Amino acid sequence: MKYVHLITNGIWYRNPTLVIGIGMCPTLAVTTSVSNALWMTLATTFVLVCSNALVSVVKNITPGHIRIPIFITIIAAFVIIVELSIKAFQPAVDKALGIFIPLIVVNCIILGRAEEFAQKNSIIDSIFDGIGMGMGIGVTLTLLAFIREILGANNLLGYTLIPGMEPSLVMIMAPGAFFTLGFLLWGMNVIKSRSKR
Amino acid sequence: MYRTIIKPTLILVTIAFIASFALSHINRITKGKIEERVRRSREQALLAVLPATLGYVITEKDKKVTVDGKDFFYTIAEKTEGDKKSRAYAFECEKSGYSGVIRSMAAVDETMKLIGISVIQQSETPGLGARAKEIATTDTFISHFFGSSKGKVAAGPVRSWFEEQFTGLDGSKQIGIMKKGEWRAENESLRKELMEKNSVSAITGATITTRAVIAGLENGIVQLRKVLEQEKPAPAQEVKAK
Repeated sequence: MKYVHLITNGIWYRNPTLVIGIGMCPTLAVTTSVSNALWMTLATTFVLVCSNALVSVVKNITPGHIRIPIFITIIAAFVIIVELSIKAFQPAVDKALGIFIPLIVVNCIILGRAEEFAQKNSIIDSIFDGIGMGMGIGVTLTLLAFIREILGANNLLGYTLIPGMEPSLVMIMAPGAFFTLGFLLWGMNVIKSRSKR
Repeated sequence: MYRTIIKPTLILVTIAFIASFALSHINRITKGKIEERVRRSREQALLAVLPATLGYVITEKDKKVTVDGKDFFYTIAEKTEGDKKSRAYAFECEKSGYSGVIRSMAAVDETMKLIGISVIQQSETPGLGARAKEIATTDTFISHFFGSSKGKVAAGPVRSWFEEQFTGLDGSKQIGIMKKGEWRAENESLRKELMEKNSVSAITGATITTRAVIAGLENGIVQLRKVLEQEKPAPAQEVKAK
C-alpha cells in the first residue's frame, strides 16, 4: 500500500512538472514529438531511480555540508552512462535529443528528489519514489508531446495524420509548448478542485 | 579538523573514484561502437554527395591538412572520360544554426561547381529547420493500416529536397536565398530561375538554418581553395592543361 501510494504520489498528487513545477526546461524543449518524449522519460527515469537508490545508500556516511557535490557526482555518473549507451546503441535518438541527455545532470527533478526524499528514506522507498516520479514525468511529457505533435507537425510517431494539411507551426515552437502546458495545468486543477468538493 | 576537512575529503574522493572507475568501463564498452557509427555516417554522406553513378573513383580518403590553425578533412575523387581526367573534392563543413552546429558534407568539381551536399549532423527544430534533413513521408496512418504500399522510401542514400537543390550551383560565387517554398525536381521553371540566380529556396520558417548551411558551405569552399592553392601543382591539373 505504501508503495502504491509512492507511485500515485509521483503521477498525480505530487507530479513533478505539473504540481511541484520543476524540470520545466527539458519538458518544454523535448516535447516536439512523442518518440522524443518517451526516450527522454526513459533516460530521466533511469537516472532518477539509480541516483535515488545510491543517494539513499550513502545517506549515512554523507556529511551534511558536502552532500550536494556527492549527489551531483552520483547523478553525473549515471547521466554519462545513459549518454554513452544512447550514442552507441541508439544513434537516431542521440540525433534527436542531442544536448538534452547530458543536461539531465542539472534537471532539478533529480536533485530535488535526492534532497527531498532519497536522503531521508530507505532504499526500497527511494526506488519506488523514483519510479513514481519517473512515471509522472512520462505522463506529462507524453501528453504534451501528443498534443503538440498532432497540431504542430500533423504527424504521430512518424505517420502523417491528414495528408496535405498544413500544420500550425506555432505549436512546435516554444510558444506552443507554453500554451499546451498552460492548458494541462488548467485541466489538472479543474479535476483537482472538482474532486475536493 | 578531522570531522570538517579530512573526512569529507576522503568520502568525496572515494565516491568520485568509484564513479570514474565505473565510467571508464562503460566508455571502453561503448567507444568502439560510437566510432563505428560516426565512421559509417560519414561514409554514407560521402556516398550521397558523390554517387557512384557519376563515375568518380575515390583516390585519397579523409586527407588531413591544417588551414588557419584548424584541421580540415577532404577526400579526392577522380573521373576519367576518354583521355580527360577530372577531379572532385568532398569536404566537411560546419556552422552554427538555430539550435546547435550543423555539419554537412559537400562535394565540388574542379570549377567549384557543387556536385551535392548532405547534412550529417543537426539539432534544428523538428518540422522546421530539421527539414533540411527530413524527408516527408507520404505514408499516412490510414495507408499504414490498410497495407497500401504507396509511399515506400527507396533504398540507398536518399536526400531531402533541400539538399538536392544545391546540385549544379556555382560554389565560387555567392549563393543566394530565395523564398520560393518547397523545391521539386519536376518544377522546371523554379529550378531554372534558381540556377540563373545561383540561389536556393529556403525552408519555410527556417531561414536561419538555410543561411547556416550556405555559410558553412561557403567557408568550406574558401578553405578548400586555400588547401588546393598550397598543393599546386597537382598532377590532375597538369593533365587538364594539355
